[in-house]
Amino acid sequence: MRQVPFDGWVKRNEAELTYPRAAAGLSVAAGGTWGWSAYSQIVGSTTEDFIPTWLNLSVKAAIPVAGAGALQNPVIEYEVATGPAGTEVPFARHTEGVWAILQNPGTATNGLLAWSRSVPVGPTLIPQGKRIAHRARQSVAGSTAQTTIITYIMGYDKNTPVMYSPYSYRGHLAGIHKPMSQTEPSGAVVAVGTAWTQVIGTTARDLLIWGASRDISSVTAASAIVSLGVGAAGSEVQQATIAFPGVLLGNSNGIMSLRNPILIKKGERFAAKIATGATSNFMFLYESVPA
Amino acid sequence: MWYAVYDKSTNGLVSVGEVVANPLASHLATKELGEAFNQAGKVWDVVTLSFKIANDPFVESFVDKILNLPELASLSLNIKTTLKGKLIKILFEG
Repeated sequence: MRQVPFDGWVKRNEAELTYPRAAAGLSVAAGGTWGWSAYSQIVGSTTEDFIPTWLNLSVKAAIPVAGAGALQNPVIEYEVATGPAGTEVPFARHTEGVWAILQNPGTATNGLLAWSRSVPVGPTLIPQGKRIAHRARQSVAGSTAQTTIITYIMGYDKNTPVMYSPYSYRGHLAGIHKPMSQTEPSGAVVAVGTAWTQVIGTTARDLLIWGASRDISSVTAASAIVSLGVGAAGSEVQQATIAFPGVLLGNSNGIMSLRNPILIKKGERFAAKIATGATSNFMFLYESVPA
Repeated sequence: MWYAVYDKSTNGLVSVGEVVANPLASHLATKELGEAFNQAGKVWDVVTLSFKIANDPFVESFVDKILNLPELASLSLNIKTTLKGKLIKILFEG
């Protein structure tokens, strides 16, 4: 039997907070040719001591007629900051890149693509009452390619999430748990509404839930904040939050993950519901751990 | 109250928000935007020092498809132009 240290990893019983909260994700269009956009406010005053840990970002890339036919490869820088308007101080920076060609464009060709992902942000305490804002810039002129970042900041109040000791990260990476990566459902999606919706009725094994991809066909802005929970119908307990930001003609369906997976114990019922925003279809990603 | 913070020498937008630095740097100035402000789909106009609907060919194309439906053929150009602006605003702001 291998000995591994307890290093905390899988979490239970503390759901992530978001900014914006109970509202649609907020967007900022990148300034062209490395010129920063203005800062745009995400929240005027945080309501608790907040520790951001994760950015759930969507990226919308528009290739208008002027950029059609040639390779467009804007690189994006994105910053999140605290402080009053005029004296913001960044606490996180992220980067994205685009590679796009519209072949055989017509005179009215316009290309749009959008994707999303979760990226880490260095955890740092943002005291209650602080303003948070964001800005972006890109390497190319907006006339040939225009990118927009849409955001949810994920994190916790000053309490860090509760970890579940039997699952050690080092041990997990060493292969001792022998998990299998799976999706639920497979070959289909599950429609999640504003009431708790069953995803798995009775889990046959411990599951480590990592996140979900979304299936939404709306062209209007469709953000969604999704609660993940366990428990029998009528007594579900929220365990985690994932959030999908959306913007007009730029909703994105890519995987949104959790910084720490939540543990669904063998025999528990796993459910999800839309806490805020658009009813959507999802495919959930998890690791199944043999008993 | 929402404020735009802009650079007095270039009129370029620096920041938007409900909380403004106090004191504000001497090269910056503010403009009130109202109690409820939604920046989605808007760009800052350095001439008028105000926000205007962004020129977005994707959104305009989308709205044009609606306004060119045969069922709306009897509408005058003026009405369609007015509707176009309002539809774009609604689409961006939700």
